[in-house]
Amino acid sequence: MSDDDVAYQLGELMTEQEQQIDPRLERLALGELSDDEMSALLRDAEQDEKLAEAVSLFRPLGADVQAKLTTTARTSSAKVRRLPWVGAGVGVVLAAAAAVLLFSTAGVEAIPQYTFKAEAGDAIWRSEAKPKSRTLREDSEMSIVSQPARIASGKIDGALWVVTADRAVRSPVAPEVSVNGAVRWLGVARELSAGQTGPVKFVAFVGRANAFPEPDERGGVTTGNGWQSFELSVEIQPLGAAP
Amino acid sequence: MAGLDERSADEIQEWVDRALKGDAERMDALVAALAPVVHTRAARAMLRRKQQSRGRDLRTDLEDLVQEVFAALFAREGRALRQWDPSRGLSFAGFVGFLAEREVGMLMRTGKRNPWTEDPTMDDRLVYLSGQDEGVMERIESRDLLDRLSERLRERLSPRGRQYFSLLYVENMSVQDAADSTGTTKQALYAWRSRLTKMLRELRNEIESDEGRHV
Repeated sequence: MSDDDVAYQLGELMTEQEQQIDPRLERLALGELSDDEMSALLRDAEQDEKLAEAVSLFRPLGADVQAKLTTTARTSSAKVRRLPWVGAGVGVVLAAAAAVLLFSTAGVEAIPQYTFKAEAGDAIWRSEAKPKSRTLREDSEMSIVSQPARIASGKIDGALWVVTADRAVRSPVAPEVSVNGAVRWLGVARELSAGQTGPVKFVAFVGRANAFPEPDERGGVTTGNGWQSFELSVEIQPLGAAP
Repeated sequence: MAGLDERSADEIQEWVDRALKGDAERMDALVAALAPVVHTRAARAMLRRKQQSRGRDLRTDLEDLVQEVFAALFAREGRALRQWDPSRGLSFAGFVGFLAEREVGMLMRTGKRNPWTEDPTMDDRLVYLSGQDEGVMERIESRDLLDRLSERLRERLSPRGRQYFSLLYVENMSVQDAADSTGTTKQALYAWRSRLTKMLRELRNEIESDEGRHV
């Protein structure tokens, strides 16, 4: 089946799906049906099991649900505070402690070994495997999280760089650092990439802030004195240009 | 959208901004205005997938889903809502509907919060029917995969991509007519058609790779 055939079949399917939805249902959800229209709809639903099911889905949300939604909106939109978070998985950390590698350095306090994990939509990248490049939309929610194999002592920091073909800039998104020394960056792709679209490489550093090199100073290594890094290449599509 | 339809883009943005900064009255009004938009998108998505529900209480699942979408819309100081850019052509309600539909698709497909994913799906039906005529099997399988493809496409397409897909493949317009109706050049439409079919190919490969089957 050619791509065009599939596209036309999808078009037919979408038309069919649209035709299966009674045009009164949307107005029911919006509370716009008159009493007569509502009575007629309910009468029809008594004779049609599928319509009855649809009516149950489209009838307006009750006051109790609206109240829950208001609470959800208020809670979710509350200003994010940089509080200690407990995502570092202390149990795993302790179990893995025996395998910890310490990077001792002259003049820079050692840091435990870190693993990195990035997520955007349903894509997940981990430092244990060579990350594959993926295409993201600029509004995709994205996270880059780095966890230490044991609780890190001393001040841990993070730096996220955005590298394109012609320049490297620091991401404006500040890292959050947990009490255990885990570091994470959260935001939509466009924010993390400092507004850059197209092919972009993220380079995340964790460790001692005064030890961080710039991305092109690493000489191809991912660990150094007081720092470790993780690279992730993605293609960021502008919302208006993405198909 | 009640209370917001008559307002200018600037007024809506100010309204959203003040609601997100803690103005309780505006937040209540914003939630009341957005709830039907999210509700109808979620209800449509559930109707499309209702064969997966297997007797569950649809209404309860719907209300949970609407709440999850709200959590995503307002997360991190309302970042998703703040991305609305009226110059890109979508009304605020249209933009929220677009975000809601995409979020619903993600939630239901990835199974992160989808109560239905643990239930038997079409895959089991295919096994059950395996002794039947191959032609019937192929038609059922093809329809099932088209359903999956359509959900992923809804999730992935940008507003503009949706518009062009609808004109070219749902309304079956010629490239010339679609270009005329949108004020776009024919060349741009050809480029879009190529992008859309490329995306479909990628989605087919994704599904094939996820499920080990051929579309």
